[in-house]
Amino acid sequence: MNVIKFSTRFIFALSLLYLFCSCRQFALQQVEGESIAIIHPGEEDNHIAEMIKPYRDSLSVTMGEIIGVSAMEMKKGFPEGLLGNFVANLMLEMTNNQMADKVDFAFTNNGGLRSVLPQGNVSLRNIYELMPFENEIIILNMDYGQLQQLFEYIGTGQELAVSGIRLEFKNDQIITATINDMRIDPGKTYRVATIDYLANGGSGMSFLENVVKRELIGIRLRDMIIDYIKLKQSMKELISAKLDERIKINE
Amino acid sequence: MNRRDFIKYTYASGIGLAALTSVPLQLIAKQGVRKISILHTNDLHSRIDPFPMDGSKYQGLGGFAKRASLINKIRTEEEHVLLLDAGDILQGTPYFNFFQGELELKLMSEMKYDAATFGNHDFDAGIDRLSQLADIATFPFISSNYDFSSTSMDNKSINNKIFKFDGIRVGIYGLGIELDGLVPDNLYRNTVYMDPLRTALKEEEMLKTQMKCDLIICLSHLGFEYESHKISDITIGTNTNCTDLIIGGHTHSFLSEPRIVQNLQRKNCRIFQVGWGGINLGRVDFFFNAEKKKIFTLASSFTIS
Repeated sequence: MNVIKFSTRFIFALSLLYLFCSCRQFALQQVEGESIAIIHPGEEDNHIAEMIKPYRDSLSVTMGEIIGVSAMEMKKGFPEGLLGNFVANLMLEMTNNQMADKVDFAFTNNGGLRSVLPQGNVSLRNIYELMPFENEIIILNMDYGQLQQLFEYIGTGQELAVSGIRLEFKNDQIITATINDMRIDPGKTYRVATIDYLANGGSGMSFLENVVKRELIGIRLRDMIIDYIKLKQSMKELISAKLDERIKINE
Repeated sequence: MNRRDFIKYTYASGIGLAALTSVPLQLIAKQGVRKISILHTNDLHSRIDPFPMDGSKYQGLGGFAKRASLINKIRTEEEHVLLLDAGDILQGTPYFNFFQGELELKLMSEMKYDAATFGNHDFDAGIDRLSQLADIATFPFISSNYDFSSTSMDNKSINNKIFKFDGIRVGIYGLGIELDGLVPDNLYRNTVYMDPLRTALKEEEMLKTQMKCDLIICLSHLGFEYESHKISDITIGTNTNCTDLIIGGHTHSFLSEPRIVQNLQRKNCRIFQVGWGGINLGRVDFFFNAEKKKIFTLASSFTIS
């Protein structure tokens, strides 16, 4: 009898608990979702991981492909560097190969170039490391006022890689500026190749957003670099760059 | 107190674990409460693997295999789960450049995504490739404001879809961003972009009145908010009548919880977006009572580290 009594009591206690839970349990469940990820964040699903593996392995082989040979190690520099000059030069050359109307000069930001190009064999991986972003080439039609803003921006010590222009600054003031070694014509609109990131105001270049006439030409900078290096390789040429005082900043 | 602590606590109080864990669902069923858990990603950008361990801001975060594990765990815990993506699945790592989206769509299918909408970068391999990828996917692409009828994408996406959970009807429509100026036109070809707000008003009205949906979700790749007058999720949220939740993308906005805005009916519309690259999984739980009226919502953003 004692046992039965005890059981009854126990069941009674349990049902009370049910009621109690009906009030509190709901609130507790609100927190449930949040805590799951915090406690077990790093666990991998084996099946998904196995599906990925052959692709990752294959990619590792593909990225090892040698696409060309560099005559020298190229690094970034200020006010100019081999790497920046190399990339800006090929931007100008390749856009002019593609476009019917001449592009006058090119620029990109050193900040977007994320590694060093080694001397000797250059692999696809090197280029993906150099240019991991999906920036696309865009052609801007810039007037005299917009060019002045661009030059002032460079004069404040912002690191741009350029090709086709030469700029000399003294005490932050521009003293000479030429495009294709000719003085700038204030009445002319110049066609300029850059990347969409900058054209859309990135790296503090919000003044570029005011350039109304602009055209994406359907190629990413990274692909352009790869195409250029492969082109040189097909002609059995090494890739190279040199410093030529295209931007001079005097104290 | 989280669930684990709760269980520990009550177990320590001398109550059987089995009895306890079965209680909540029974009670919820008895009380006629329904819970729908919306899980979502945006701007995955081909980040199949976690961000590389290179000292950068997001190192080690994200990764499809880890996300799959978390989603599976939630699915075992929740009866009614929807897994959605707000576009820009593609572009951003060599996986996309070399396999053209194949792996992304295969994995998302395997992870049982329920629906996705298109982002501008999903056109990056061209519309013909997108059409092939839509065939690879076992889940539908929902897009209400792109007219693909003159392209190879014709009939490869749907304007809306209704999911039914134990009497609750969840209607989803999709909004894409204007492609002109954002995507080279040879990639999207004859895709016609239609006004997102007008489309949203039409879709939500149809889902509400004709299809009797209890919950209306907009999958959007318009972007969260702009300083200019460019149309955004905020525009949609404040100028519609009955869209309950906008799951957004494009601006890579890291929101820790949904932004609540007032719609035209002075009711709440929630707008959520969880960064990019699969760093986070968004979650919004909707609870319904027996009258099928939404009683409250819960939302969280998990960091997959």
